[in-house]
Amino acid sequence: MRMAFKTRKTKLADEWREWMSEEGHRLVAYARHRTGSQDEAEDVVQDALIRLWGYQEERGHCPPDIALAFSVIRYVAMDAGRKKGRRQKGDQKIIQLHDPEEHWLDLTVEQDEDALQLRKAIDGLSDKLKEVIMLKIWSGLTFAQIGEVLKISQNTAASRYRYALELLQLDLQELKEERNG
Amino acid sequence: MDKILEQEIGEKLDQERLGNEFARIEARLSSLMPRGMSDGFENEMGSLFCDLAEETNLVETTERDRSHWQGFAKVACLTIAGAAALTIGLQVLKEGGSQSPSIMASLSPEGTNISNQWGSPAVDVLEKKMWISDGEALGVVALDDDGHIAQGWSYQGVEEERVLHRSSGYEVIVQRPFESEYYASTSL
Repeated sequence: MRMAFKTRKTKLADEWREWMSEEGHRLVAYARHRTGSQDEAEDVVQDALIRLWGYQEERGHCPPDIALAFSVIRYVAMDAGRKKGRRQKGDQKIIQLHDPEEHWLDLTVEQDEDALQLRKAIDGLSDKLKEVIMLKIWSGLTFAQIGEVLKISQNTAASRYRYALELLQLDLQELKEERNG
Repeated sequence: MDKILEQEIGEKLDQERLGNEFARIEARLSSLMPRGMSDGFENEMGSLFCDLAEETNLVETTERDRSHWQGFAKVACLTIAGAAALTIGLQVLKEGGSQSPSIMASLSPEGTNISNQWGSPAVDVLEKKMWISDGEALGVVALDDDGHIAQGWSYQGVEEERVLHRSSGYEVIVQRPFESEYYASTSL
C-alpha cells in the first residue's frame, strides 16, 4: 500500500510537470503581461500554482483547466499589483506590454520596423483591449475561455478583440502614412 | 436598384478587405510572441510539484481502488435490493400493518421464521453515513447568461443507514447511491 502511495504521488508530480511543460510558457507570458517583469511573473505563477494545487484537492489534485489557471494567475497578479502599488505609493499600470530593458518581446523580431510599429500601436491600446489581445493571440484561449478568465461574456470578449484589431489597423495605417511622408 | 446593389457590393468588399487586414495583423501579432518561462523556473516548478505531492495526503483513487469500488458497487447493488425489501418489511412492522409472508420469508435467516420473532414494530436508526465514491471535474461552467461562472464537479456517493430492529436484534445496513453536482465560485 505504501508503494501504491509513492507511485501515486510520483505520478501526480509528473502529471503537473507535463502540464507545466505544455502550458507554462503562456501562463508566464500572461503573468508577465500583468506584472511587467519576468521575476514578478514567475513569482505570481508559482503562487498561483500552489493555490491551484489546493483548489484541485476535490479532484484528486489533478492539473487544472487552463481557463481556471489563467483566472487564478490574473487574481494573484492583481493582488501582487495592489501590494506593489501600496509599497511604491504610486499609480502603476497593471498591464505593461513590454519593458525594453528586460526584452519583453523576441529580440530577433525587435529589429523589424514593422514589429516596432505594431508594438507602438499596441502600446496605444487600453489595458482591457491589450489583455484580450494577449489572451487570444499569445495565450491561445477561445473567446469563451477569455470570458471565463475576465468574468465577461464571450460576446464582450469577441467585441473587445475586434475593436482592438480595428484600432491597431487604424494606428498602423496612420504610422505607415507618417513613414511614407 | 443598381445603386443599392453597388453599395452592397462595396460594403462586402470593404468587409473582405478588413477581414484580410485583420488576418494580417493577427499573423504579425503572433510573430511577437512574448517570452515564456525560463528553464530555471521550469525546473523549480518541477521540484515544487514533487514537494506538494509529497506533503499531500492523497485519498487513493488508484486503478486498483477503483476496481475494488466497482466490485463493491456490484455487491452493494445486490444487497441494496435485499435491504430495500427489508426496509419495506420493517416499515410494515413499524406501522403495525399486516405482515407480508413473502417479505418475512425473504428476511428469514437460515430458515428461521422471523415473523414470530418480530413482535415489536420498533426500529432504531443507529448510524447514518454518507461518502463520495467517485467524481469528475466539469471544469469552469457558465451558470447563466450574465457571465457568472463557477468551477463544477459531478460526483457520486452513497448514503448509508444502519438500522436495528429492537426485539429481534437484527441490524441491517441500507445503502442508497446518489449523484449530484457541486459548484464553487472561481472568484478567489
